Amino acid sequence: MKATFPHVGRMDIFIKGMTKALGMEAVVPPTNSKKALNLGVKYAPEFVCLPFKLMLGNLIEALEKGADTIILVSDRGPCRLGLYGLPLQIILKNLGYKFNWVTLDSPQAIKSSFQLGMIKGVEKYRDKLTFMDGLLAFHFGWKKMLATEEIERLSLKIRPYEINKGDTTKVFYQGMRAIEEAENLYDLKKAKNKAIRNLKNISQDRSRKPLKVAIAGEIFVVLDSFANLDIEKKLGELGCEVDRTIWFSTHILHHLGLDKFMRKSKRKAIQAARPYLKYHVGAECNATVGYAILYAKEGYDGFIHLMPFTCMPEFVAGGVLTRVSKDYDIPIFTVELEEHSSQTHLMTRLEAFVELLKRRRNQRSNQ
Amino acid sequence: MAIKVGIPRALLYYRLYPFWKTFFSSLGIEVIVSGRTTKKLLKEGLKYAPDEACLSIKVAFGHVQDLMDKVDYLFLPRLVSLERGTYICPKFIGFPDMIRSAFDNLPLLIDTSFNLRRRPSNLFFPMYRVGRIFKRSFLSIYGAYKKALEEESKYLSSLRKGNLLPGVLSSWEKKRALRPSNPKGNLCIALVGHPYNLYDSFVNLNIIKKLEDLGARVITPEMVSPLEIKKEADKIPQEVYWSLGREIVGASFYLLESKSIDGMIHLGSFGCGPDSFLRELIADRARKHQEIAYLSLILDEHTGEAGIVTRLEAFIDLIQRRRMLKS
Repeated sequence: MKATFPHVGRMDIFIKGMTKALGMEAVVPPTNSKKALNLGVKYAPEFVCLPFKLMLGNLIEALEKGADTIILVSDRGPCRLGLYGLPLQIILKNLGYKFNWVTLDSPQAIKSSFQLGMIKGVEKYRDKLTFMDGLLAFHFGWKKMLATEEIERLSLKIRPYEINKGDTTKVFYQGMRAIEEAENLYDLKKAKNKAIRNLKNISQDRSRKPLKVAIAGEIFVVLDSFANLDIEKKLGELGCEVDRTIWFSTHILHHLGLDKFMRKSKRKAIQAARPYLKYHVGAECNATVGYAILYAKEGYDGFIHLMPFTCMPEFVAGGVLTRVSKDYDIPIFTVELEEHSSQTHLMTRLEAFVELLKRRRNQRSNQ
Repeated sequence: MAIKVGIPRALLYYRLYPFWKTFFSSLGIEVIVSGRTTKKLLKEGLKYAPDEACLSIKVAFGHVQDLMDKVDYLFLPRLVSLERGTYICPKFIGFPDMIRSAFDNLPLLIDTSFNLRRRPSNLFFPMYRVGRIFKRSFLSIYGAYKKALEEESKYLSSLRKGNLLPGVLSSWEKKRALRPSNPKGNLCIALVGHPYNLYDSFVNLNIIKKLEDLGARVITPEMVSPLEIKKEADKIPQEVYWSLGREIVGASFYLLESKSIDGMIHLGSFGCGPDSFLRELIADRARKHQEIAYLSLILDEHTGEAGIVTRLEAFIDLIQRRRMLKS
């Protein structure tokens, strides 16, 4: 069995780490690129959201590489994600591919798909591997992802201070590659520490006072740097210290109910949004509104709301955010992402937004 | 003076109006419905609605704006779910909140949540909460609720007999006997889509009338019995969890399988989330039934009348020609 899965942010690092530790095989689709997007746009329904198009592109590329089982992690409504499986299967079948399909959308589905022998390939390994092996593999994958996230978080903090533009990005990708290649926990720790050291050694101008901007929105486009046109890097190079609200690990922890004691958790954001949204709309909608409130209270200069075009829950959030922006006096910039979004277009708008933030700050300091 | 409650003529008005109207008028409350959708009304809505809204939400914003100064209360129930295990659409869940954020000086908003996802039997509780705003007596609220249910079931059964919704609704409203429509045509066209697209004659450019003029009998998802819909919808490997979407897919699959129709038209609105998937599912099934012609139309606020007429005429011509060739 050669299993594959569509990309969601840096989930591939987690899965690759896990399968590596287990000695199994997974076909990882090439990272999101123009090619994947074009494939997705060609075959996907017209008004479907950007994540669907990218995932379709990923799957076509992976099937071309010889995958025969597709695993899709999903949920059960009300957003479109829960139904991705149906049209994806129809489209791929009409294209003439043959594959096994597994949707993991609830604990029951996971259990029954194991029983039905969906992970037939696992049987081959079953005698050799113990439960402990599985646990250790999970731990290794998880650590790898946490390490990547840690250096990414650090790079966001350092980028506005860098003297030579692009240094941070280069060092970050080097570090990430080293982490990806790590074979065991010891290597991983070494690679992580080295990456952190390298990032801190970048020549910096500490006298700058960067603007503070938070990014929130629909999880897929926030996590995926191709889908959001590298907005964090762009903002960093324009001199903004970016705080990203959603990480793959925090998302998992939230769904396991383990984020109770974390600072600025999704749980707290949902509570903060209560005056504006009296009901849980679903997906990240309430959290987006809540984060805007939390960050405004903390004195952030601006807030960026990312959403794919025609996204239903984020659309509701966008409607409510106009009021939040007025009430808490924080500029909010909603970016709708679709296949036609262009780098230059976004750059121009971001420059204008950052200019506005700078002016606001100057006015405040003059008063 | 009686208290006035406003109901916008948008979204699920077409399905639930008899229920709400009966409930409120039994409690002695005057119900005011916003005017029919017009160009001006839509334009007003566009001023307030977020840019990326789907057409149906833009229209709904226009209707709310129309009611603003005329009523004491605005009835915008938060429709989370009306059936077991389903949702309506995330936009319906957040609709009252969006309205509250977009407008200043709103009349009092009644945004009671209707969530029957887990327990389908507790429709009375939210209705009781609505009733309590106006009346204290439990019995009169319960009486109004029972009466409303009765009227609704009468309304739905009249629809299932094959009568078109606009006619049934107006005859119900005016308490007049239903004038049976007897179109001359011999073609049978299924028109599927969300009720707020099918029955808002401004939004869909009066498509039902146009089809009837071209000699077609129109069938809508409301005319298919819920049992058949359930049977077809259960065959889909994954559950379609939007109750309207489930109904549309179930009904269109049933109509396609029953082979009682000559053609099928899917009406979707621009930017509608569920429609983007439903179109794919229905088109895939229609491809397997080559003898039934299939047309998919997308509506937006710029839809030109001539464009729709041309496509409908071509569609009908195609079916007529097929028939001729067969005989």
